[in-house]
Amino acid sequence: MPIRFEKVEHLYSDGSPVSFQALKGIDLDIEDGSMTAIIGHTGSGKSTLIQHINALLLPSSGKVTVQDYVISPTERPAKLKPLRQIAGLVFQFPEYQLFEETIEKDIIFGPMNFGVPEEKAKAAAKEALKAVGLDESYLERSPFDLSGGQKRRVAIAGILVMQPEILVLDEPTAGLDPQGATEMMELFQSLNRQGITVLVVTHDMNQVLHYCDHAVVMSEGKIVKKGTVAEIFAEPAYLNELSIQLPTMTQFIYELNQKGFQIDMSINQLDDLIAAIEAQMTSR
Amino acid sequence: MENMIEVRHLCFEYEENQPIIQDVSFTIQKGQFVAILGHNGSGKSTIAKLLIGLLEKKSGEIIVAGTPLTQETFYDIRHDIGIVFQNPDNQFIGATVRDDIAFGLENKCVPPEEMDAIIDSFSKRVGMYDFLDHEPSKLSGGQKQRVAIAGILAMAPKILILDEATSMLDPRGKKEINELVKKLRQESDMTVISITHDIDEALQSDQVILLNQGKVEKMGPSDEILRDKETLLRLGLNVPFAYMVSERLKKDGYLDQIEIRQERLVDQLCQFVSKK
Repeated sequence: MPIRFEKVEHLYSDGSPVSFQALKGIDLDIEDGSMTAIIGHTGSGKSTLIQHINALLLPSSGKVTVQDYVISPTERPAKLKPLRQIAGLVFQFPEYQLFEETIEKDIIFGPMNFGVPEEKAKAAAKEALKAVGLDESYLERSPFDLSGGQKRRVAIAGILVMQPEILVLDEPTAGLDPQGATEMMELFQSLNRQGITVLVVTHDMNQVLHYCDHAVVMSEGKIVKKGTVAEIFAEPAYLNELSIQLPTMTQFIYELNQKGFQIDMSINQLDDLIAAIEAQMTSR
Repeated sequence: MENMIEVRHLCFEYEENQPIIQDVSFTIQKGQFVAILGHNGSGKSTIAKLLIGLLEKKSGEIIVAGTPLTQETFYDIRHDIGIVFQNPDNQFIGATVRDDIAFGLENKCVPPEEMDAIIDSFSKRVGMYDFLDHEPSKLSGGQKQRVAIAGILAMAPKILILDEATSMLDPRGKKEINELVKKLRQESDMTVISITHDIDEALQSDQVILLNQGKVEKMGPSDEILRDKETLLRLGLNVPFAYMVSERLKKDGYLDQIEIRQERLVDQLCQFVSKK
């Protein structure tokens, strides 16, 4: 079990008048090699949760275990530095974090900080750039001359170059157009298939349905539901209570079923959906 | 019908001979809800910046409520136009949410005694009333967008431009903001321009302007434009889900026509469900 949360609580600005409890009693196991969606409203604690995975935040109480590392309230963050290599965290709008003159320099910044020799870091940068779908010709270009989607790929390459075993993404497709978003999700899916454990915070339930295998639902700092994606979307009434929308396809099936159809709610492919609808229609 | 915005042969470039906007013309009528749809880099946001005079056009004409936009008029015209950008971090001024909403009102010379009521009302309408004394920078992305939207709506603009303004909101938040905008349109006849690549958001508009590489690819009623599958896909956009389903069902002989709106498709199909 690479990631385990046990009774984790997190308080922001503890002891001040604006103190805010963002996480309450979190117990969670993330399986090795899974692709897990973290869903929930704005302010439900999703971003706070994932920042514990590489010890950017320490719990106020409880503990988080990531492989052999234990993240507890009293841990000295310096001791957890190797964790930053194991678990790569990609923030919202990572392209704002690009800063170097060339893409190569930007990508090798991380490994050089970890003491990787320059030549080795450069070789790794080429690989990382390839993994995000950009060729070597980009190495010498300025990251600031790229389009939004390309910049984001470069920022992600800067994480992949560290060869993380866990990749944590906070709304990685926000602001991308549909084509860019699809390409990005396909990239994460292929990394996941190569063995990387992926956690993705997203509001897009269609992405959860089409790319993820597990999902965790958060509300007001607590985990209110966890399970396989099919299990999560099998209870529309409950999700509705939480004001979480169903994926477009699941919602469509739900509406059809309300009006007389009997279609399996866990369908996630258009072909299967069409076959199921046609099987239940009277020939005209 | 009164023309609220007229754009004629608009051109813009950052560097010489690298046109970003090429000969764009369109007219938006008062009270209309228009979606400007296009992929990243198609020039959508540039048009918004040109409309509010944040960028200076190379050539062409922009006429807002009958007044041509020029160096002399753009301060006046800006009073009529509110714009909410995609990233609200670029838009915050105040140390607290309250100050931030007040900033726009101060600039509009709203009397201080009226200000509190306006701030309370709009912060409630976007669901941020409990956060009035918080620091904007410490809010989540979606909460920041709500504050930015409240700040603009409080100024009661005649024209509201939303530049991917709800991209960081969860679906419920998006729905709430869309409903608030809809309500304000009914109350005030506000003209709304929504810059988006979200096909579901475009489905709510009256008119769609489809932009590609700085040119208008197509424009017209949303019901017409959003069923042009070939063009939408070519521009890297999505096709409405109902279209994809009904297209297949039509091909297989189960439907007579293609629907782009999901409610209508559900109603259609339910007439033919076999009652076993």
